[in-house]
Amino acid sequence: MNLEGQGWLEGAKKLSENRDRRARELKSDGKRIIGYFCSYFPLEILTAADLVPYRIMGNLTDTVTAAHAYCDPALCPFVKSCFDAALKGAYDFLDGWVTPDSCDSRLNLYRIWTYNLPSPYTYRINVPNFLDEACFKFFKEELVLFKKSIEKLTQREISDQKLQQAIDLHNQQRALLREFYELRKPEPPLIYGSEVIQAMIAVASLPIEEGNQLLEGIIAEVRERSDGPETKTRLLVWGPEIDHPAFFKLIEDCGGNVVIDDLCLGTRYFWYDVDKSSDPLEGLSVRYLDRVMCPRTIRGRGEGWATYQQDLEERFGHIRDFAKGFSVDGVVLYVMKYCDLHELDVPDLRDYLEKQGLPVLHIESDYSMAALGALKTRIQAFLEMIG
Amino acid sequence: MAGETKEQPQEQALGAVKATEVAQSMKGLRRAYYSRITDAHDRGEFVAWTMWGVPEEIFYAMDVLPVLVENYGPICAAKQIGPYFCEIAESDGFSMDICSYVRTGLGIAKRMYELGEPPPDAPYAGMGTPDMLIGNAQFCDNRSKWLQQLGRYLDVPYFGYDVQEWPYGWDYNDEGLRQHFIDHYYAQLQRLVAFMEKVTGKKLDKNRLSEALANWMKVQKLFYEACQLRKHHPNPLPAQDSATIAFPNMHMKCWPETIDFYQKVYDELKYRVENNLSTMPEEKYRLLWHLIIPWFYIGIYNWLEQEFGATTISPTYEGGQVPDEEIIDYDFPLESIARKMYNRGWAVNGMMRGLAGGQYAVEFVADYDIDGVLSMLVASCRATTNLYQTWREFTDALNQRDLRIPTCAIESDMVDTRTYSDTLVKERIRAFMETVDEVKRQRQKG
Repeated sequence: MNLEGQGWLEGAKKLSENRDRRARELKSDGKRIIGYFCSYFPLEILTAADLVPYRIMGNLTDTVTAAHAYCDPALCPFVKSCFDAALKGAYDFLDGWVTPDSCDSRLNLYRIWTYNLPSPYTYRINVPNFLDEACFKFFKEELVLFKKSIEKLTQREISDQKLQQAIDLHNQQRALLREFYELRKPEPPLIYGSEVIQAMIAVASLPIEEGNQLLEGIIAEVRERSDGPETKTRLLVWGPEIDHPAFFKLIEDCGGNVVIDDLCLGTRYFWYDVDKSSDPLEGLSVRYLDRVMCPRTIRGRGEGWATYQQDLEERFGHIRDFAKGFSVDGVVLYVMKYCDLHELDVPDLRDYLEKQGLPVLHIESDYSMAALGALKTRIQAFLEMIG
Repeated sequence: MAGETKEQPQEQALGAVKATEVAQSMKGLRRAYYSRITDAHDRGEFVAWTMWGVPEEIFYAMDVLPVLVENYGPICAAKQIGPYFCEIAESDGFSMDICSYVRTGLGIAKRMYELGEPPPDAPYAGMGTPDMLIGNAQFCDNRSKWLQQLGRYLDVPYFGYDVQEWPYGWDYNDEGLRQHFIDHYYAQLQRLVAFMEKVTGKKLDKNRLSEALANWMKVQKLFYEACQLRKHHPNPLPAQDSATIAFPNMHMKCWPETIDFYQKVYDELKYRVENNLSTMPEEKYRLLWHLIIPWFYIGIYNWLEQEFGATTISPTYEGGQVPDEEIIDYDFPLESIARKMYNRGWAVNGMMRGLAGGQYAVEFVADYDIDGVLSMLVASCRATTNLYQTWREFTDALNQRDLRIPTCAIESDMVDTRTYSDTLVKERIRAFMETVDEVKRQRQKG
């Protein structure tokens, strides 16, 4: 990886600000780049087929304009921004794009995008909402179907061996990301939350091997740094996709540090590995269906017999563990407007966390820079309250 | 205050004036239904809070009374008490952007939790007290999670099951894909039955399930054929009536009395057709109301009749198509229900989320001789937050046939009147009807 003489953290920052640069280089070298949405998408199948997964993101700094002609006003603003970026050419280098049907807005976008901006290849994977045996079976079959589709696209079979190699690479990245996040545990953390998100954006824009290399470099560099954050209020941020450092920077400017998260481009993306299995697709189906801790998966009470408290533990116990493990002082529930899945969880999660003794701030964003400005006062007040 | 809004339609026109006797009889039928729910425990009957799409046959076969929580939202809206319950939910931290059906249901549940009984201000004395909550992942995200959220207020077993839709653009007729989905539906239904058997202590009676399935098919056929009569000029079943008479189809579909009801519906509509009975002196325009309707103001359809001589056809809550008989085997009713679930045509007619797509919509407007299409832009309904795309596909399909049918989107919610402006909506519709009139004239000139 050529970072042009920059340090790893600075290199990650530059990559995040110009994140299609590497993908376009690879494309001109003959690689095929497949865009994807969401942490539910099984990237290993793309990697095993020698395709480069490239996460589709919005553009917080660009006002949505073109997409308004296609997207209803009440569509998720993040999804709308992604399509707006596509209409403006941000994804014109993709050889195709794929998505899980993880939410209504993405379902709606699939129809809008495939109809109005045809791609050489698109695919949608159905992801069950529940975790019973039949759902795992169905989801595994969905992965079989997707694998066949990719084999047809590439005219090459994906062997179990190739798939397992891809799983190992992605698990390696997950391990590196967990190691990376360990750097946030000390007080003060060794790395700013805004730097973490820049690194995440960069990693999600690179082929897996280069992402791993970047992470190794960042981890080593951060361990040696002397210019890290100061002691500030330690926060956990929960919510959907945050794909720009501005919100974390806002928190830092107000006197806080985001030290851990439960976000789509955060721990949901990497926290749990794919288990080794004699059947790689089996391993993938379990990991992607059960171990992405997003509200769209109905845990706990769906099977009928859990009590309400057990239900809350199933849904939010990992957040409590994060908060303890990272010595969190408070939690920000960052909800995107029109994201029903997160909005519906807010009252239960708020109550659960407050019972754990954690102060909670619930904010709503419409995925715009203007929205961030309006949040400053509330974040300052929250941090003052925590003390 | 409950139901208070800045602007409201004329109070006398809020409720609709029904054209048909069957629609006029609905008030008594609804009251009787909810009364049965309220007294269910006195008779040793089980009550399930559930939602449309969970197979009615299974409830009937297991003698469990289903209460459709989602469909109670429209009732609250019609009684002008929807916003009140929505605000109660919002006071507990639920966003205003969440589906107003969901907020209504959550608000009622919160009041139940506070009072220890159904709220006295709920229509028809409320939805009873559930013994179980049964939800599924069909249609939208809210429906997946909603009943899970009720756990905040109701300490009853909750069960959810998965329903997947075949993706837009996939080949619905591919046999391999078809079986892939049907196998999944069947496995989910087996789980559902196991759950209900555990709660009720009763085993599913397969013969009773077959009976329920047979009743279901009869009702489906009757309602479908009745709705086809709307192709007649004048329309015998305007939207204000079709919205009302959908109630038994949703809540009591497998009951023998529901078969009688839809036979009455068919008979009355046939009579109206044969005698050219209309709700207005002259039916000048025929409008399609696409998807969700403003339940708090069904009188808008009377207004369209009075103001413009326009009848409105609303296919959203009708029964939809009848499944092919070849997929129904009464010796294997649960398997048949799973096969039936694959054919979405029975569940939601019209242009729902591209399942039908532009082509289907064009056939519909041709069959029903539609002059214009109205729809609501509903900010709280994510499943239907694709109206622009629907219009695009529809217009493209019309263009392929060199046709022009004007469309109009009005901003409103289905329950929450706080987002409704009567002045703005009606001005918009007035402008739209001028376009409808002009386009119709051009079409008639040839």
